[in-house]
This record gives sequence, C-alpha cells and structure tokens, in this order.
Amino acid sequence: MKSNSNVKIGTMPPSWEGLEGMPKTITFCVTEDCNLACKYCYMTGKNSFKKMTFETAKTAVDYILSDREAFDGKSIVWEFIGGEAFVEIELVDKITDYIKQQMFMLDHPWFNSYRLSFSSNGLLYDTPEVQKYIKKNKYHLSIGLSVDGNKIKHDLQRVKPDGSGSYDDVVKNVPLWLSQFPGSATKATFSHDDIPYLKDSVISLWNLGIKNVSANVVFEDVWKDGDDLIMEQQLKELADCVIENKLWEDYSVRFFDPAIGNPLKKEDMDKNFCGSGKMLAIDCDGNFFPCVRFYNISLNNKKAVCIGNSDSGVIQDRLRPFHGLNLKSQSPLECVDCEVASGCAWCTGCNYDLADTDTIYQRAVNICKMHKATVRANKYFWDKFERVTGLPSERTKLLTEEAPHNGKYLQFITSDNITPHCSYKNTKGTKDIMSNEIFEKGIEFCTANGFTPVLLGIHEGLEEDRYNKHIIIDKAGQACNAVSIYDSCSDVKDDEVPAILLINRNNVQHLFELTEELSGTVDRINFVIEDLDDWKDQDLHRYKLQLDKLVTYIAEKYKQGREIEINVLTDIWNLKSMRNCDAGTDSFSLAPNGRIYMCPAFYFDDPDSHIGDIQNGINIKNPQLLQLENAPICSICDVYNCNRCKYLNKKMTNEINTPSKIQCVISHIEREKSLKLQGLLKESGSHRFLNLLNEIDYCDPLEKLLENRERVYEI
Amino acid sequence: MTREIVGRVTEEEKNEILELFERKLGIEELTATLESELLTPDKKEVMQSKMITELGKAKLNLQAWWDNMYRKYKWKAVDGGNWYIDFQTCEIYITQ
Repeated sequence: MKSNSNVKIGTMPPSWEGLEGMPKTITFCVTEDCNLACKYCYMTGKNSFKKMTFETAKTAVDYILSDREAFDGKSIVWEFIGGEAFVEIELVDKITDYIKQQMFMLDHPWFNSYRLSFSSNGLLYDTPEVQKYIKKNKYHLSIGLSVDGNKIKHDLQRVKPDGSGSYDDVVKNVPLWLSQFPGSATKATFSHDDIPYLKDSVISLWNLGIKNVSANVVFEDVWKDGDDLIMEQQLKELADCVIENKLWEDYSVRFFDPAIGNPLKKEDMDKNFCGSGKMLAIDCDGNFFPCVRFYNISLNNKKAVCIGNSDSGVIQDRLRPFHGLNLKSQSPLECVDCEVASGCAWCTGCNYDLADTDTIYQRAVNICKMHKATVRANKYFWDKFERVTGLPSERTKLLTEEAPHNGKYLQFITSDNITPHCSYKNTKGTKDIMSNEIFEKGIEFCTANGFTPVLLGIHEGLEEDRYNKHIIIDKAGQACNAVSIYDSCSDVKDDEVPAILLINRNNVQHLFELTEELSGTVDRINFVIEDLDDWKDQDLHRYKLQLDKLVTYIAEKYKQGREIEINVLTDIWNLKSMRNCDAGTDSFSLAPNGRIYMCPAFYFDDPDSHIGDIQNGINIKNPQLLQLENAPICSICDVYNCNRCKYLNKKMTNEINTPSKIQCVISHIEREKSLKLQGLLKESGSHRFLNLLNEIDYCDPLEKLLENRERVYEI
Repeated sequence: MTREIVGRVTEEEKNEILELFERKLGIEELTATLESELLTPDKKEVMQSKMITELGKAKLNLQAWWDNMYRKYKWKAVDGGNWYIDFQTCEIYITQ
C-alpha cells in the first residue's frame, strides 16, 4: 500500500496556541448592532442603539491587566465582536491602541504574545477604515469572514435588514481577505432550510479559494424528520466529488474529519467541548460573562449569566459550575455510551437556553441524528478513499491507534469445558458447545457495536481461519494464545505471552514454587484465585507466607535486572486510580446459548442471569451500580489493582457494588506485601514508581468508612 | 530558492525566540499608535523612549539566541544562506 504523503481533507488550520497552548480569550462586544439580519443568528436581541463606550472598555482593560492572579498565562487573545464589530471600527481601533500601549508600558507578559481576533460578515472588509486597521496590526491579527456556501444557500440565511441577500457583498471581498490572510477558513453554518445545498455550497466555497471549510450545523431545535437522510446523501455526493477529482490533497471540510464517529475515550469524559468559563466576555455595559452566548441578547428563554464587572471583579463562585462542567456530568447516558460520539458537538450557552431548568448541566441533543448522518457519510468517504486511491484511510489509522483506549470486549465462551481464566468453573457438568451460527452472529455483533472479540478456548469444529485472527485465552500449550492459563506448572510453557496462574485452597501452599518455576520463562503472571468464597483463615495465612517468600525472590530478580510482573504485587505501583475488572462496563461474555452475560461466572452459576443476547443487544438494569462512585466501600479504598469481582460481590453480599470481607482482606494482604516489595526496591534504587504506597492501619475499608461516619456525627 | 532542514531546537528554546520575535514585532507595530490621542505629550515621549530602548534590546537578544544555538548545535552554514526557524515544528532550515 502506498503512503499518505499529503492528505489534507478533514483537517483544519491549527489555531494560534501562543506560548503555552490554549490561550485565554477576552471578548469585547463593542456593539449590539449588525449590518445583517441573519435568520439563524443566536443573537436575537440585536439593536441599533447599544454600543460600548471607550471608557467602559478602558476600565475593563485596566482591571484585566491589573489582576494577574485571575488573568494568568503567558498569552492572550483579544477578541472583538458585535453585532458586527467592524461597524464600530474607530472604537475598536482606539481600544486596540490602548490595550497595546498599556501592555507595553506595564511590562505585561501578554505584550510578547497576543492576538487580535475578529469574526466578521465581511461587508465592510474593504473599507479604508478597516484596511487601515489591518495594516496597522497585521502581524497580530486573525480575521475570519463568514461565507455560508453558494449564493442560494448564503442568501437564504445571511440577509440584510431589508431581506435581500448579502452574498455578492461579501464575496467581492474574499480575494482581498485571502491575499491578506492566506489559508484562512470559513465557518459555514447549516440549518434545516439549507441542508439540500450542502454539497454545492462546500464546492462553491472551494471554488472561491476558501480551501478550509469549518462547517457545522446549528444546535437549536430546528431539525425535521428526514433532514439527516438529506445530509447523508449530500455528504456522500460530496465524498464522490472529492475522490473523483482528487481534491483531498488541497481542500478540506470538517465533515470528513477522520476522528469523527468513534466511542468516547475515558479521558473525554472529563472534558468540556467548549471554553465557556475559561474565557471572559464583556458586554456593552462592561458586565462580564462566561462567553458571548450568555449575554442578554443571545438568550431567548433564560436570563443572562453575569459573572461580575470591572468594579466588583470576577465572581469566582459563578465560575465554579463552568470549571466543573464535563462531558459526563451534562450528557444523557445515551450520549456517554454512544458508539459514534466523538466529534459530536454542543454549545454550553445553547444548552443553558434550552434546558428545563436554569442549569448548564443539561445537554441539548437536537443534532443527534445529524451527527450520526455525518458519521455514516464520513465512513463512506474514508472507505471509498482507501479503496479508490490505495492510500491508507486516516480514519482507519486513527481507529487502530486508539483501539486500546476505547476498546470494549466480548468474550466468547466457546464451550462449557473451557479452562477457566478467572473465578468461575463449570460445576453443573454441562457440555454445551457454541455453534458456528452463534459464533458468526457474535462476530457480526462485535463488528456492528465496536467490540473486540476474545475467544475463551477454541472448540473443535471451528476452522482455524475463523479464529486465528482473534485474541485467544486458553490453557497453556495451545497455538495462537494471547494469554495462557496454567493449572499447574507441569503445563507446556508459552514463553512469549502473559500467564494466568490458577490458585486454590489445594495449591496455595505451593504458590512460591509454582511462580518460581513459571517465572523462569514468563515475564508476567496474573494470580487468579478460583475459590475465594471458600477460603478460611488458614488459607489466608498460607497465602501470606507464600507472598512473603515471593517478595524476597522478586526483589532479588529486580536487582538482577529482571523485572517480573506479578499482578497482585506490582500492578498497583503504576496506578493512581482504580483499575478493576471491567465486566459489565467494557467487557461482556457471549455464552453457547447465544445470551450475553457480565462475565462467564454469571453464566456458569445461573444461565438465567444474562443481561442481553446477540439479537437484542445488552440491557443492564441499574447500570449505575457498576460505577466506582456508587460503590461506597471501594470508592474510599486505595488498593487500585483489586479485582472488585462483581460476581463474587453479588454471590457473597447480594449487592454487586459491595465487596465481601474476604475480598477486601485478601486485597489488603496483597497491598501490604506490595508495599514491602516496594520498600526493598526503593532501598536499592532499582525501580521507579508512579504510586508510592504508605502504611495503613486497616485491612477492610469498611472500617475506614464507618470511622469516618462516626467522626462526622461527633462533629 | 532552496530550503534544507539543518537541525531542530527544543520546545523551550523555540519559545524563547518566539517570545523575542513577537516582542520585536509588537514594538514595531506600536509605532502607529503614537498618532492616537490617547497619550499626553509627556507620556508619548516616555513611551517613545522606552520603545527605542526595548527594540534595541529585543534585536540584541534575538542575535544572541542564534549565536548561542549555533554554538550548541553547530548547524550547517552556507555562504549567502540564512537560517530560519519553523515555529510549528522547531526545525531550523537554511535557504539560499
């Protein structure tokens, strides 16, 4: 396959990053007047009488430059908006001069790293006043002009106060703009009425020389049934045009961003899509807002959210909700779990305006169908691109790179006779085997839902070419294993792959010997206790003694340069938060009967404890109980590598979120031994640790929980 | 004109020269603000004087950065060629 030398489609020019990346933006609304009356504009309260005075701007600038604690950072973007900011170009020029002079005279760090930013409708772009301003500030300027597409589409939305279209007025200024700001992008916005013109609009913009089109759809509740299908068709036709004419090297549109349409990564959950609250917007009266969408004139249903002014400063308490805002806390569960969520946007101001109560924590999902249509067309484009050009698809490349982070797994219990790889066993003597039909349907289910198949064992009758491309976990000595299970160390060794060593009451006194033998060839060993629910005090005692011997042995190996990993001893060193069994969240099991279970233990214990099947998918009741924050005992614990076995929780305590005493005690025994081993290695300086353990005085976090509660009552 | 990449500096080193470069351009663009009515004649004189001093310093510091980096990295030099830095990639290239 050829290499991708220069694929531009789907990428946008990088935004200015300043010296540290993500500089803060200060936005001045210099006027509420605009020389256009665009139909989709969110600023519905525009008027011709309100504008900022220079004194108001000056007071704000003085305050901002004087408070380095609130306005820190090495770089800054000073943004001017309206209405249309160029309507007040003389005022903008005066404010700009003042900002520059003050930054310089005060030796403010921002003087060495700032930009002046405008989003304009372009009508006044070629006027002498605006051109003079551009010449005066050229190096520090960023100006975007809004052209929405072809003439029909643009004039449908972007109209003058008399109702006539503005296309010709702005397009005449595009060549001058592009000559002064080469490579600039335009932000074409699409709404219900103009979706049928999407393809022609994007091509028209490219023909004007605007090679980067940062297109999006409006967030408001304007979409009608069938709009998504029109959008998908338009984008597919655009895709055909791009490929047929080899436009992908020189032109770009955001709809073909290869990162769109994947499941969310864990780190995405803690992010907000926009920068509201991190920026500061100032209205004509000098009041501060989290962004321009929280101005009075931008809201239709709610009151403005003012966060201070130049006299009182920023009211930090009003900003706290914005700092805390992240994807998970504001999104419905269907968005969090959505298999094509990446690239789906929202606007915090719009969310607030449309929410049922006065909250920013309720995400509007009006664009859901439009996003999914974009994803389908996006996939169509990149699949066809790969097929036709022979170049690797950027989308596939990204998916491959990110697969380990966002992967969900479906374990195939290929028969009732598989060698257990965790705390389960077939006690009923059943002999069911997964049929080829169920196997194939399972693979189709994985493909359709973004799951990675994992085969537990391989049953006879399954052809090699059907299984050898998947992850296989089976007893040691089988070909193609990704992980090998050892019942005892007389098993044939698979040197190259991690090992699971099954431990039980009968062999625990030989744990050291088994591990020593296995570690002669294997670098990573996971201990799995098969029968924890039967363990008694004497078993715990034996386990402790064996771990003690292992601590000395492993420390010696590390000093010799052989860094053997034992899950219960070494994993915790690299963890700063809980990483436990992901059954029911990221990992599921398909049984020979075609039903889906949280894990094989549930299947072997009770075939009726399923949570779905391959026809109807997965439907977990009370899924919140699988989350760490809803597990009161576990959420205060620091044994980050604990199994937190949901099956044993349910079996022994009757609650899936509550561990048994034996589970906590054994995890804390392992923690204690891990601490001891860490101490030995710290002495010799032979290893570096992400997580340094400390001494604790309990072996069951429930004690800690109850003690904390008692303290609260005492207070 | 030919362009050849001859080396690369660290992110910190790139930020040092970027800051100096932006400062120089910032002072040069300040000149036009002296026409405005924002400053009294006294303040205008103070600012002009500061601009001259700071522009001189910025130019000297820029040259010192190139001298230091050349001593450190010993980039290829060509008669009649000039070094440039790509602020996006931290790459140093030579044109002739």
